[in-house]
Amino acid sequence: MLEELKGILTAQAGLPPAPITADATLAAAGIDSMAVTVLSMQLEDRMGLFLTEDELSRAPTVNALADLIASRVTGNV
Amino acid sequence: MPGPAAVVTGVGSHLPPRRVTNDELCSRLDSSDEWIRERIGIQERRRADAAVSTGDLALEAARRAMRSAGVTDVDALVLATTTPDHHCPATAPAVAHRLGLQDAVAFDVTAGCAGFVHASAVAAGLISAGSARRVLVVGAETMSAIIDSDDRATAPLFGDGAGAVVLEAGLRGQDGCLGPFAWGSDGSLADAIVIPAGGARARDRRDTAPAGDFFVHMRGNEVFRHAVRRMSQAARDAVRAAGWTLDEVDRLIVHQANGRIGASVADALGIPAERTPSNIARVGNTAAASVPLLLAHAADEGRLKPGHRVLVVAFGSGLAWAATTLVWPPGVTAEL
Repeated sequence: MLEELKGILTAQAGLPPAPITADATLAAAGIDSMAVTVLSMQLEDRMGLFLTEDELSRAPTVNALADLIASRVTGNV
Repeated sequence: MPGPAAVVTGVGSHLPPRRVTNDELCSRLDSSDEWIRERIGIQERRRADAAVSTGDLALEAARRAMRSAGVTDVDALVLATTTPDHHCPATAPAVAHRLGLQDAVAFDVTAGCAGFVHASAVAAGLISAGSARRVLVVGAETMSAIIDSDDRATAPLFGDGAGAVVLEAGLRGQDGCLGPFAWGSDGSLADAIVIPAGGARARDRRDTAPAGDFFVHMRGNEVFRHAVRRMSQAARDAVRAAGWTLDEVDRLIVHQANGRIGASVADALGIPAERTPSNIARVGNTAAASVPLLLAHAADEGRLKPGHRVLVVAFGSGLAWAATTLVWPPGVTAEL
């Protein structure tokens, strides 16, 4: 999921790839509110997942964000 | 049976000369040139001097569109703007008067950044109904009049400018003819882009409202989401109504809201970047002027060529959205 997340953030949200590392905070990774909006919309379009911008923004790190999305994909949350 | 079609026969634009860089804005904002360039795609925008109004910018763009069309008279002038010179009267009659148009029908249309496409739909209706043979459609804005220089959500985004087209009665199916419109509104989100004070709704607070309430407020993320969704759907609907498919679209003229919104709409429609001309880096979001400015710039730069199948789509406060299609006509030289 981490790679897919990176793919959305770079290709669709237009973020530079280098700062998007697993342990980076969202702010350090450059994931601003516009990127979170794009991510939320892409998750809905690609996977039928409904994660609000607030839910996504609360993830402390990029890895935690990927885990949050993965958990929704498998229905563990 | 429908009446005559509305055919584009001229296009013109006008920008005030003063360029405002990101660095100049960032002296007052918690933002940076790098963030503004990379995230919303804007390097500079134009600002009209205080003595220059929306009507002044509209007048220049209108003159140029008429010159482009080779005409000296029109039956009607429809002016789309979010920043009229006055609450009362409409800005269009004064522009028509200054153009020397005697007794022409002239009125404003307010549909935020979607205003120009709405005004084009209204003009096409006038032509189709036989109420006018030749209509000047103008989008003009002095966004600097409603922007709080200290608001990082809006100050870097918006610019001033004007664009115009001449529409004339013609045959359905001929190049330049505007196709069916796909348009609508959602007033449940009227407060997503709003100037809270200064209107009838807040008249009891005329003397007490904070100064910031007279500027435009925007809930950026919500607007982003709805802009992409509504423009993508309207674009699909307009293409289908025209009898085209999306892969037949040669050029997507999308309202220059911010660079990322335009890219997201193109991505959602599967239209590659090379078919999506943009001028937002140079002019910012010019609201109702955005679409005609981009038409003029893209035509002037040869990015819009005769025979291109063009999909036009815009979205703005209201919320409101509108899309249409045309085949770019031969023999139209943009007057900048």
